Amino acid sequence: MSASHLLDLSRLQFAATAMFHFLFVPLTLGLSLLIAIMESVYVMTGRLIWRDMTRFWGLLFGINFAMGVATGITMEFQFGTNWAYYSHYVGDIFGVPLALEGLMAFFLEATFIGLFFFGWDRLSRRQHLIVTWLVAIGSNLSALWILIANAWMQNPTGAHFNPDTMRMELDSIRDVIFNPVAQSKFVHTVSAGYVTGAVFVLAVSAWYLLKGRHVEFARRSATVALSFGLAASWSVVVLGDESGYTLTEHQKMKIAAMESMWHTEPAPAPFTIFGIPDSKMHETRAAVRIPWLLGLIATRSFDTEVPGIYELVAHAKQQIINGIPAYTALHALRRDPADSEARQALAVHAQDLGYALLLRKYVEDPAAASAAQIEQAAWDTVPAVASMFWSFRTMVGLGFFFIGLFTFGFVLAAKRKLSDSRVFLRIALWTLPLPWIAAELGWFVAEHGRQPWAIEGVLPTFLAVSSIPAASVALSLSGFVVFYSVLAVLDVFLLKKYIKLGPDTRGADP
Amino acid sequence: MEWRSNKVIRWPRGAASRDVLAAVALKLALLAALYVLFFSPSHRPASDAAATARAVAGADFPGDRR
Repeated sequence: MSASHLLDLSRLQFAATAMFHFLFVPLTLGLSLLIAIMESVYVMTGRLIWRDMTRFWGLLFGINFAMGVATGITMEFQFGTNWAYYSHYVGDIFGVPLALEGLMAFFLEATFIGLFFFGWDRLSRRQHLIVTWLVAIGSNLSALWILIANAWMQNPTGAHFNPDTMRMELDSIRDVIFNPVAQSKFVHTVSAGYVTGAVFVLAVSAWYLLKGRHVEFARRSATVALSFGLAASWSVVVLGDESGYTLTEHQKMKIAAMESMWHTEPAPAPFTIFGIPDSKMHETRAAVRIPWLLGLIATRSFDTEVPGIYELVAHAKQQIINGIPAYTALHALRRDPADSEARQALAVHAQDLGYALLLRKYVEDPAAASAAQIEQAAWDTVPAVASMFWSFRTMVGLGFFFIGLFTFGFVLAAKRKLSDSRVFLRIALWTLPLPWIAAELGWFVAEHGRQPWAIEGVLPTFLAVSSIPAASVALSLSGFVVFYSVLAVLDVFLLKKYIKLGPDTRGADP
Repeated sequence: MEWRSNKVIRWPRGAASRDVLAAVALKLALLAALYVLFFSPSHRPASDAAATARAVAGADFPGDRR
């Protein structure tokens, strides 16, 4: 198997494990907050139905957490084995938030989950409520640190390249933590998790109501889910808009690909609501456009242009040319670390070194690249336009569907007609997989849209992969398929079992 | 409206703990097997400065052979 097979298999393995891991994460984020809200009502009112709701949804949360925990550690296995050069090159930065996640957030979350389940008879109501909120805070803090790490891959700030160690080294942890991409990504991702939790509670409650089982329990659970989901679904769209706005600043090519915008349009740019991107002809066929909308969303102004793919490729070409002296200087410095002229040249052109490295796909020495190879490398900075275009639109469409679903359900609940509207209950039930599809599409847009970079503008993905046999990656990928298939079967089996069994009603109000 | 159960169900909380513990034990065993088979240190390539320089920047630098 060739080097391209090795790269494809390594990427496929990482994508498969990350996407599987993210099946568990949004439900953990959403359910942890929902059970904290339910228990708060229990402590405030003393009514046992709220305690039973907390316990039942808490059990499903616990199953999801237990099955999901450590499914993310497989990605860390891969960093060392499949992505060894990535790990060396950026591990000093990338490892910091990952370690903080493990030390601070995960242990907080895991410790208090134990107290949540085994503390009902040992803690006072208020103490148990504090524990439940700490579980929710811990879950969200976990997401924060992971998203800080991911955001650094999208916008590598607060660091510089050291040619002596061949590493990116940290200048400012503050810049890494307060990376604007991290902030917008965090709030968008957690609110997507809240929508997932709300849809889960709503769908299961709808199933009980359709079956006529645990009616009062299900009606209240659905009402909580609808109220929470309504707020969360608006948040996910508004904060998604903020996340998109940061792309305009930091990942212009990603937004151009998402919009299939081949040429810079006069400001404010139109939004293509429908079209058929043609990556060979570099055009969008049958495009239906809404004037001004993209310009207003992406730049929040009437007079700022959103650059198109052709213009960004031309810019990338210039960066590749600018980066070649940095590559030559790096070589000189590796031969002679005392070469002050080379050190100065590298310092001047270091910001474009990554672009010169793109040429290594075509030529051993980028300084010897032909004009055609430079042109090819510049076009490599364009991610797969059609899949970006449709993934983004499907995700956004689902986001607006959730707003409609929660709004309609909220009105029904307010009119006390929720239990009677069987059509709505069926729609709510069949909505169950949709938040996961939306979340996975969101990650596809974020990560596939970053290609060809492992670290945007710094390290191309094809140079980050380890030089190991492709067959061994294929073999470990097969191992993951078995591992995750077993987990998926177990998770669905356990969740179905305890959903069918329903809530524990022994302690119900008389 | 007061919360009234229409039917009292014997709900096996102990069984839930057993199910979850068994699933977690199986998961940890599979994870450990994956680690030993494919990801233990013997499966990892060298990733020091010299190896990374060769992989990322290409040429075999004389300085890296020191």
